[in-house]
Amino acid sequence: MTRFEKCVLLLTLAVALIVPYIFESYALRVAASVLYFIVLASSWNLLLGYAGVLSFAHAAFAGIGAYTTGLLSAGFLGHHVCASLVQLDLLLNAGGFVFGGVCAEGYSRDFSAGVHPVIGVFAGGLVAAGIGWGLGRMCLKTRGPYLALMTLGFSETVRLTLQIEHDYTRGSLGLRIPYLWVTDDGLPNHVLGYIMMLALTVITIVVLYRLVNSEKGLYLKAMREDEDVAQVMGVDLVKWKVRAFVISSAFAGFAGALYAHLFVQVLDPKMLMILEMGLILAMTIVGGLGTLTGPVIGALLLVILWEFMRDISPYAHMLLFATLVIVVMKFFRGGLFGLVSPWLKQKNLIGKAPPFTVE
Amino acid sequence: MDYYLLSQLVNGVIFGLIYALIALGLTIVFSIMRVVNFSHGEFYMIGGYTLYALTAGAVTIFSIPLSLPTIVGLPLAMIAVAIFGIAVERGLLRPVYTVRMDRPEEYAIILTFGLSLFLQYGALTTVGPYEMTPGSFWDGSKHIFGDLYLAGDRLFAAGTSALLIAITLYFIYGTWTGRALMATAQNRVGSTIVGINTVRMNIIAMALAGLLAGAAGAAMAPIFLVYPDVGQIPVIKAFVIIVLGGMGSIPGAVIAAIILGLVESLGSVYLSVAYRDVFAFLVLIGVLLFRPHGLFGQKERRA
Repeated sequence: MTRFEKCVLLLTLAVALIVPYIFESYALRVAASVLYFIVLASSWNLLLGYAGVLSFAHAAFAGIGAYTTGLLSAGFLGHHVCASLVQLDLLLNAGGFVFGGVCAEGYSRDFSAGVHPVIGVFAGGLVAAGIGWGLGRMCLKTRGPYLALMTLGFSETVRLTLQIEHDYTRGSLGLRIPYLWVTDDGLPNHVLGYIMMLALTVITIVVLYRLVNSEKGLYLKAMREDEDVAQVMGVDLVKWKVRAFVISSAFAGFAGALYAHLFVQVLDPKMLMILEMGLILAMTIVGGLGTLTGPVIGALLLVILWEFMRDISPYAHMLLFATLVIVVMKFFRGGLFGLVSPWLKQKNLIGKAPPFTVE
Repeated sequence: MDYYLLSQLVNGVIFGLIYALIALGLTIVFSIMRVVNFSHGEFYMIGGYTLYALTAGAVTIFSIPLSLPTIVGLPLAMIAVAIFGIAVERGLLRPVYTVRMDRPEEYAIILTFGLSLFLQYGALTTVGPYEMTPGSFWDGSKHIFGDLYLAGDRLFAAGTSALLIAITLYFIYGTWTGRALMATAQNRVGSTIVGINTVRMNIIAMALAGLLAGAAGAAMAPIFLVYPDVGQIPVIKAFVIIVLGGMGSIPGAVIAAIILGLVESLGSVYLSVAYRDVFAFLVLIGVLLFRPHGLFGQKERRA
C-alpha cells in the first residue's frame, strides 16, 4: 500500500466512525444499508472480479442467512412451541388462557421461545456457507454460462420455497424477528447497530484484502485470466472455485442475518428477488470490478443516488442503475475506479491498476 | 381412462409447446452467438404489451383508438419484437464477436441482465404494475370429447406454437440460409472462410429469436395477462429447457420443453400444486449432476 492509499483508508474509516454522531435515525439507517451493500458487493466481487465465477445467487445467500436466524429466533421454534402450549391448554380445558394466553402475546412481542440472536447470526452465516458449499460442489464443475443459469434457478427456487412454506416463514406476510439491541424505551439501538455493521464491513474488507493478496488470491486471479492455463499450472479449478464460493456466501449470510437483526424488523421473501441481485451487480460493476475499492465506491454512490430518487418514482432508481450497468459494460468495463485508477497510477498514488481494460 | 389425468397430460403438452416456442429462440441465439440472452423474458413481455397496445383500444393514434383484431395483432407483435431484437444485437451484443475482449460470455450475460432490468423497470415506470388483459384469440371453453374440455386460448396458443416451431425447423433444416446458420453454429471461422457473412447470421438469429419470443408473448397474453415481470418465470423455464436439451441443440430444446411441460403437469397432480414452478429447478439439478451436456448436446470442446 502506498502512503496515499493509507491516508484515504484512514480518512474513510474516520468518517465512517463519525457518521453515527452526525446523522439522525433515518440517515443512519441509510448509512447502515450502505455498509450492508458494501459487504454484499465486495464478497460478490470476490467471485466475479477475482475468481471469474458469475453467480446470481448472492442475494439468495443473504436471504438464507436472514431467514435462518429469523426462523431460529422467532418463527419456527416459537410458533411450534406456542402451538403445542395452546394444545396443552385445550387438553387441560383452560380455554387457552394458562399457557397459550402468554404465548399468543409472546409470539408477536417477546421472542423468548427462540434462540438468542447472536447464536442466530452465526448460524445464519454457517448455514449460508454450508448451502454455498453444496451448490458450489454441484455446479462449479461446469463452465461457461451453466453456472449463471443454475444459480439464477437456485435463487428463484429458494424465494418460491420461502413464499410457499408460509406455515413456517409466514410467506409474503413477513416474518417478524427481534432486534439485537433495544434502548430503554424499547426502540432499536441504531448507533450500536451501525457500529456492528461497520465492524462486519471492516472484517470483510480485511479478509478479502489478505485473501486476494496471498498465494491463494493468485490462484483465483489465474483462473479468472485463463482457466485452462491455470489448470495446466496446477490450480485445482473446482477446489478453489468452491472455496471462493463458500467464503463469499458466508459473508453474504452473515451480512443478511446481522442486518436483519439490527435494521430490518420484518423479513420478506422479496429480499431474495432478482432485483436485489441486480442491485449488488450494479454496485459492483459501476464501482469497478476486480478491485477492492470499486464495490465500496459503487455501493456508496448507488445507495445515495437511490435515496435522492425516492421522490421521483419507487422504480426510477432501478431504471437508472440498469442504464448505468449497460453503459459501464459497453464503454468502460473497469467501472468508475477503473476510470480514475490509470491517472492515480501515473501519479504513483496507488500500487496496482485494475485488471479490466478494453482493447 | 381418467379424464382428469388425461386433461393434465394434454395441458402438459400444451404448455410444453409454448415453452418450446420461448426456448427455441434462446437456443438459436446461443448456438449462433454463444450468448445466453438474459433479456429473452423481456422480449416475451414486449410481445404481450405490443399485442395489448394494438388490439385493446387503450392506445390512440390521431384520436383513433387502436383496436385491431387480435389475430392481426399477433404477427405485428412478432415483427415489433424482431426489430427490437435486431436493435439489441446491433447496439449491445456485436462487440462480443467483433472486438477482442476477455471473458465475452460474462460480458454478454451481464449486459443482457442489465437490459432485462432496464426493460422491466422501464415498463414499471411507464405503464405501471397493472395487469392488462388483451382480447381473446378464441373465446370460451372447447369441448374435445367425452369429459375433456380445454380453453380456446390455450388451444390457440399451442396450435400457433406447433405451427411456428414447424416453420422454424423447416427454415433451419430446409433452406440455404438455415444451413448457413447451422454452419455458423458449428464453426464460426470455418463458415467465414467459405463465404458466409457471420454478422448477418447473428442478425438473423436475433430476429428469429425476437419473432418466436414475440409470438409466445402475444399468444400467451390472453391467458397469463401482461405485466412488467411476466417474462421472469417463463424465461427461467426456458433456461432449464435449453440446459436439459443441450445448450444450442434445436431439436433438444423442443423435446426438453415438452418433457418439462409434462413433468410440471404430472408433478402438480401427484406431488404439489404450489411447487409447480420449482420442479423445473429440480430437473435442472438432475441434468447438471448426471448429464451436464444435456440430452442432445455435444460434449463441450474448447479450442
